[in-house]
Amino acid sequence: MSKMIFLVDDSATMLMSIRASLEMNGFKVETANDGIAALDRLNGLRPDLIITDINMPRMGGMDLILALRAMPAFRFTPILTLTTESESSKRDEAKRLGATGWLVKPVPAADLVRVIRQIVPGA
Amino acid sequence: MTIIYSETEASLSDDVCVQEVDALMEWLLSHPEGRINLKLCRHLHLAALQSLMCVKRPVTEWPDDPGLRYWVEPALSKQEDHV
Amino acid sequence: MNPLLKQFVSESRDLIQSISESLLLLEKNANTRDTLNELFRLIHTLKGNTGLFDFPDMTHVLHAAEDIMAERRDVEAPWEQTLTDLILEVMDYLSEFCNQLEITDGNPVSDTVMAHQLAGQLRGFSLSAQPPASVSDKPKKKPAARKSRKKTDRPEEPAESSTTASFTESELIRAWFCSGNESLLHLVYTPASDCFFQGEDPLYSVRQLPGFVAGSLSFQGDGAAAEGFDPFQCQTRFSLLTQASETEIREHFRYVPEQIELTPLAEELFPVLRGDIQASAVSEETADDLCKAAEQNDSSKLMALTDATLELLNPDLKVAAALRWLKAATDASDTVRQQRCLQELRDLLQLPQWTFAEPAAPVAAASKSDSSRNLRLELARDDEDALQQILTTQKRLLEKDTRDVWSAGRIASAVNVIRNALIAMQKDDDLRRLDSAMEQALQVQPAALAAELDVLTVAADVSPENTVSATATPATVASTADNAQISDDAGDDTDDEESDDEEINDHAMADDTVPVVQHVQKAADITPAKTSAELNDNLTASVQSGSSRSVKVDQEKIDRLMNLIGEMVVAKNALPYLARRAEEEHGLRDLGRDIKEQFAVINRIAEEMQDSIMQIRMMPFSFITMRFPRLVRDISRRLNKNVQLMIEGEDTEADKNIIESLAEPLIHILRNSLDHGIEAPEVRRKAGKPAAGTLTIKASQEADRVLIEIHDDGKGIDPEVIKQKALEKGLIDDAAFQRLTNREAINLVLIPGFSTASEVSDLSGRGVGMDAVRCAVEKVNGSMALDSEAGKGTRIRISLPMSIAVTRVMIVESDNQLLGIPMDQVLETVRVPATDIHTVKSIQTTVLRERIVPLRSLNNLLAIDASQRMNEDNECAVLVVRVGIDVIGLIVDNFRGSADIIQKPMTGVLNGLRAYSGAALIGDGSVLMILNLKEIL
Repeated sequence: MSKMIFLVDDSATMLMSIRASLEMNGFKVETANDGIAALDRLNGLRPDLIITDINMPRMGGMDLILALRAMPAFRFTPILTLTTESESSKRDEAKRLGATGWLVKPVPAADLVRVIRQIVPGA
Repeated sequence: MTIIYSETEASLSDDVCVQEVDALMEWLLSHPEGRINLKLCRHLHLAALQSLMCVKRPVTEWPDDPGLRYWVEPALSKQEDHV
Repeated sequence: MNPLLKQFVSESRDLIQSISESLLLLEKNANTRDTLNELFRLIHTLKGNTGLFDFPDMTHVLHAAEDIMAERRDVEAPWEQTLTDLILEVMDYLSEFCNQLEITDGNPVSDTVMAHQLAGQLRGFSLSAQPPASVSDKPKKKPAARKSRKKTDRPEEPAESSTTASFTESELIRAWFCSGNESLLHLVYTPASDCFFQGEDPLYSVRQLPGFVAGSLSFQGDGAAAEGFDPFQCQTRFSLLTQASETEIREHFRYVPEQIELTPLAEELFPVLRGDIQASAVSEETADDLCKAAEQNDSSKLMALTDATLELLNPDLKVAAALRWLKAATDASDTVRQQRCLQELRDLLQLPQWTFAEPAAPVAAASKSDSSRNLRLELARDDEDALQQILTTQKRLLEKDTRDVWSAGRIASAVNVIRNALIAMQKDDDLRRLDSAMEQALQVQPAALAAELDVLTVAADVSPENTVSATATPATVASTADNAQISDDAGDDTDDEESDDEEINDHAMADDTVPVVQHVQKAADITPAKTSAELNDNLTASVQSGSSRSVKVDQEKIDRLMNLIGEMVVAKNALPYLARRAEEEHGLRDLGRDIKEQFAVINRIAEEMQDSIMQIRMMPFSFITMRFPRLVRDISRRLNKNVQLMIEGEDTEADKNIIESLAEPLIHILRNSLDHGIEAPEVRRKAGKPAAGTLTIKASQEADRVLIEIHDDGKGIDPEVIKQKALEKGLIDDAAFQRLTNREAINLVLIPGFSTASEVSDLSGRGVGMDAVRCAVEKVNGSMALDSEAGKGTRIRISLPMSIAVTRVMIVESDNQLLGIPMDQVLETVRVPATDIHTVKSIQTTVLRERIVPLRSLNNLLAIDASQRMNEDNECAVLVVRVGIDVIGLIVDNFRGSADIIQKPMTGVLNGLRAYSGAALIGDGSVLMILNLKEIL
């Protein structure tokens, strides 16, 4: 059964690019444009991994991580943040809030898949 | 579901994830004589392995997956000796 | 353009727009902190997106912008207007870049100099004098764990190193040999106790460990009462041996660097001998024999001897352990380690150390470095071959006619290729010679370069000794691709050259470098392994299945939907005809009723559907107003005026066509207001008004119409000036000059040919004036009115239909033709007895409700040579319509009721028929022409 990755990013371009990389590698992909949309959409979904951008309108990645970790269904779900080269302080903050790790944008497809396989058993 | 419970045995298969640990722990506590079958298990979340290590139950079959067996056999058979 | 790039361009434009808006908001001091955050986020997103492509200029500029914004966001500092200017300029640059992307299908010719200038200027706004120290990465784990374990002399009974204690002997033996001479790392991984709540699975992570040799886990929860056990508290620690490099391990655990401890396993730690000591377990003779066998490099003898000795020994003895390690060393033909084990063995047996004879000198290491040297040479030769090919190609290019206009560029590009190749191969000397040769070639002697190439070609042949570290770098290859492009262009110059060039390109295609070239050209694709068609499908699919709440749809698709529902409405209207025929012609009353019932249902659905589709076409007013703040800001700064723009009711919606058709007129009105309306600050102050003028744009909805009001508090319009001017231009006569009210006078500016600007500025007043605005508004069935008070300001009101999709028309018959007249122009329909029609001053008139109404015959207006028909009672059918401010009676043959139609614009040659504003299909399938009364009256 293919693993489901849930992507959250306000950039449609970024979503499109990552989605394509993932789907080419056999992952099932669901997306949302910001934290609020993500919480809404996640209702009923059980992704194997959540990848979220940090800077988003309405609800950013940090608040999303906090919210997810407070929900029984997502307290153990691996969460990766999408950050840029210069945001190492953000990565640490996200980790403190419960993120598993981070990806650095732009994420080459090969790296993306490698990192996911490292985190999601059976991927 | 990757764990099938019977009165006497819990059979783990595929990738046992952390969400199943609560149920596993509950079964282990309510079935003191219950045994563990790992034959079809490919991976076990550490939380699940910790549960097994804690309750020290006999393992009826080791995983076919050599990578997993490498880790669980020493961890679980060692404790079997204690019993 | 590939879908991803398309998406990128479209989203970039949105982001650029939002960034401009935020900047202007910032200038207004509105929600400064939130706005700064938002601004940062937008620029950050835009920059992030550019990273998906290879647009270094764009990324470069945005990177600088992002840095500046990050700083502003984090540090309280006054915002400079010049920074707004600069970022707006950057946005203009990026807009242009997007345009270029679209035009060139993803191969923009970017202004690199400009990009660097902008980035440099941006950096000038940095708050700190030095460039902000980039948020430094976590300080590297202090190497405290890497205690030196080198032991010079061993204590009598050494305690086993804690690093090896957790592994079995066989694991350790395996570790020792699998690592060869490479360093072996011992890794202690202690996951945080709450790591499960961070989505981690340490066991999985450990199972993925690169270079895994051996591992064990220790569980601290042992012996705890099962009932109180919390399985979600991680209480496990891993001890691992790996042959991977430290970098690899740190990369693997990059998310949890603080949870690992790495210790290199020194060679000195091996062999690890466990067990009891029993000095005389093996005779000295046996030990000597073993040593001799090792010295003679006689593996089989050594093996047999070891096995035989082991059989007699208690395996729990240290000596036995030493023999097992010896056996492993022999198995691996590792003479050095063999000797180590043997010496250990002698130690244990308390025998003197054995002095091994020379022949057993370590050869393995030497041979290894030898082979790596060979490999290097081989690599170097490959590169030299590649260089040869590049040189040959370039030389052939240069040998072409050097007198043509392209020769300078050709030389430069050839040099470029060669330079890159030389850089990649670190041939610095050749590089210097190349540069001087190019100078020469460009100035006088093109042959100089060719000569230099010859030298290089030969030099490359005989000098494979150069150290080479890399094969052709992407830079080289990319520039090769560029140059192929250049030579291609040059080839278009003349025909005979073209074939030549093609040949050369073919040659280049045969080059080793070619697969990489193609790769570079495909940079925008994600994985070259997939065919682009597949990729496109994938991307498109991902757009379509996107879970976002809004969908961007092609205008065309909605238009098509609109046309279809239009046809459906028409087709459905055929049903009542059908019902009537069933009843009247075939006498099937029941069937007629059934059809009518069915019609009612279909009618309801069709109407709802039409409504829904119309909703899709609805766009908020903000779609056009969002560019206004920037526009007003730019214009007012240029005019040195101070203007505050207020926009209200931006979320008022109207049909896309209407909204779009409004953009130009509104900009025109704004410009007029800024240019002629609002005064310079000093003038305003003298007049006792605030220095800053206010321009308000207000949109609101009233029933099915949208009202837009543009108001400025400028100097207003002086009706006397207008009247005077209208008189001068012959637009009104003396009588009108006397009669016109102020309000009517002001509305004269809407008349064609009227422009109040006494001088033409580059902003407004090019002579098109307000009548152009009026035309645009009327084109979408809108109307506008102006009122103004000298010294106080001007107010323009525009009323527009919310939707143009459906028009209600009155259908009339004239000369056996059906014609439509928009219902909103129709005041009433009356039957006027022929006797009530009087001719006054050669114009037919009649009196309706005590008012004289001029009558016009439709046939006459349409130049149809037929008189209007009257009914049996000698009555004329008169349609009373309002055109502008005039009320006119239109004599037609007969009325045929009203209908909802979807008006379609006239296309092709019909477009020139100004008497009609459009055409529509009606229920019986015939075409109905819609009259444009303003034109024919």
